[in-house]
Amino acid sequence: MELIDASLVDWSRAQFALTAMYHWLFVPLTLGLGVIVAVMETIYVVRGSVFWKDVARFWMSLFGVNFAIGVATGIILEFEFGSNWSNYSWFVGDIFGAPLAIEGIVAFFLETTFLAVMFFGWNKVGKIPHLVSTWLTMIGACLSAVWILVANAWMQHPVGMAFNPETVRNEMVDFAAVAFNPVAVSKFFHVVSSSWVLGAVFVVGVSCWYLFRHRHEAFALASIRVAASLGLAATFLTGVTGHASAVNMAKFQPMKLAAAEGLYEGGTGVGLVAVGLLNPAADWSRADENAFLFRFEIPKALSWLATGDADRYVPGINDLLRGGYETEQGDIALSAEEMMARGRRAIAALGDFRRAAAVGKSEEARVAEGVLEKDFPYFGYGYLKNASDLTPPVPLTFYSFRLMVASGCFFAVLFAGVLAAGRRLTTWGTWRRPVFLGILCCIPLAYAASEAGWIVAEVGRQPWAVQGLLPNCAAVSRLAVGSVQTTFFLFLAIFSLLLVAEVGIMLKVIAKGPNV
Amino acid sequence: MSVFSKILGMRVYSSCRGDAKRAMLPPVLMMQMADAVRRVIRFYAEGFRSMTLGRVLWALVLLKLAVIFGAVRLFFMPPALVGSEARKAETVSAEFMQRAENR
Repeated sequence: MELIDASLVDWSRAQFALTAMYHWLFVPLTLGLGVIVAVMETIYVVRGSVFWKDVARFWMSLFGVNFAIGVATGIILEFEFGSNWSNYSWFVGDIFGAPLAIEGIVAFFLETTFLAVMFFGWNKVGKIPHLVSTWLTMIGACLSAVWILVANAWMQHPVGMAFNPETVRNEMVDFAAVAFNPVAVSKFFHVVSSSWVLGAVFVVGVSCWYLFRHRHEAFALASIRVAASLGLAATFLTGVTGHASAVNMAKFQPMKLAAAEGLYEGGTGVGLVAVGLLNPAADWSRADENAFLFRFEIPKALSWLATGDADRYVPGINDLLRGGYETEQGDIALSAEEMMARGRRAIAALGDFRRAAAVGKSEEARVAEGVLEKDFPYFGYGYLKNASDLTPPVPLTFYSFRLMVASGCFFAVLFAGVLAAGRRLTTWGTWRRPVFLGILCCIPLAYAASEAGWIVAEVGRQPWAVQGLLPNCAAVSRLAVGSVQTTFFLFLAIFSLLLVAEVGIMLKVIAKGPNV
Repeated sequence: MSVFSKILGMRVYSSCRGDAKRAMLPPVLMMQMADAVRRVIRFYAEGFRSMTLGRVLWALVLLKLAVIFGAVRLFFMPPALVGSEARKAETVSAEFMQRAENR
């Protein structure tokens, strides 16, 4: 059997990242615009004003365009699991299958049923049934996100399963543990609230374009009022849920937290890098005192944010590789070399078990199964060649984290600013042109921040497909590198063409404007 | 509900006896269900007709689905694991062993 080419792993990852990032252009706007439309329609039903009905209908039409053009983009990811990541797909077994099946059923029945009533039912059903349909469509979209994120959270922090060496699969033994995985809970609220922020930035940005062009000013001001209020609340919620995610990161994925902070040597009372410039000449995989060219730290903030205690210990990348420190659970952390040795023992035990079981040597199989069970938490470490393979790409994780957090803080100020300005937005003189165009430019910034969040989550947990259990080099299918490269460029061409067409449709609807 | 279908439904229902009659839905209910389905179809059809951007959007959606399922799935992304469940398990197990040795 030939060796797996390292570039196969890289190209397969690149292809998955391309598809996931393209898919993620549509999902947050669906979630964000959905809740804004639902709030606007609620105002219409409560006040009985036709103006608010027209406002809701316009944003609903953009919601519909985004929904239609984003449909089925996620299915390609599921194809990629089967074709490019077949070992991974087999290994995760029903843990991944069950949440995705629930997602499919919920998404299909709830979204498609109520989406139709929401779009086609304005003059066919009463106000209240229509409003209920709008809210149920929004709730359906959120419920779809729940199950996708439950599956993703299991990859970050695998729980509620038992590995079956006969089938070489993980089998779910505790559905509640999988569904209420702490990583899934914090991730769900963080993803949904950050999507609301993106939706709010989109509405405020488009509305500012109307103000800039002196068109539909009453409509634009009303839209800004709703979107900025919701966006401001969502920004604070995103901050709170982001903090919960960071606490989980410190507990379950300390290497990701260390990479996001560029922290090589940990300690007690560790500061948080508020602003920093990494040294491009540094060796990111191991100890480097010159990791930063410049940094400004908030004293003790990382210890406080990660553990709730400003004087608690937070391990750095080198500490995690060396081991020997006391973990949150009170154990002494193993070194990378020790974990790699236990991983190799687990893999060898799997082979011993299967060989013994195949010839009916049940006692030998039982002994091997015992070894495998004991060392299975380190199974994936057995595939690593060097301890430094455990270090994720530090610069990408570090800068993505800062882009995400800085954008979130900036959006809070933006929402507060436009809310405070209120009607004065229409009377600004000299500054109106740069301010409105600047706010319009915040739309791509919101997308960049949202994608950056996923980069922190996914790049920061490298080299793992499933944390601690399966690295990418074992998860990837044995394919020709050339065929993966071909599909990568094919997807790039298809996605680019579709995106141009889709953005064109969206701009056409915006240019036409609302019927108010 | 037409008179014809009402009479036909009554005849079929009344011609059944015992368990068959109990298992069968009353004709009036069947007609109401058929009517509801027709109304749902009409609701969707009128909705699609009234869409201002409908044609372009649906052309794009259908093109995307055709590319995804017709080309990508069939020609570029076939499942890598084939055969029985036991065969798949054996393949993955062999890959896991081999990759650990060749790390």
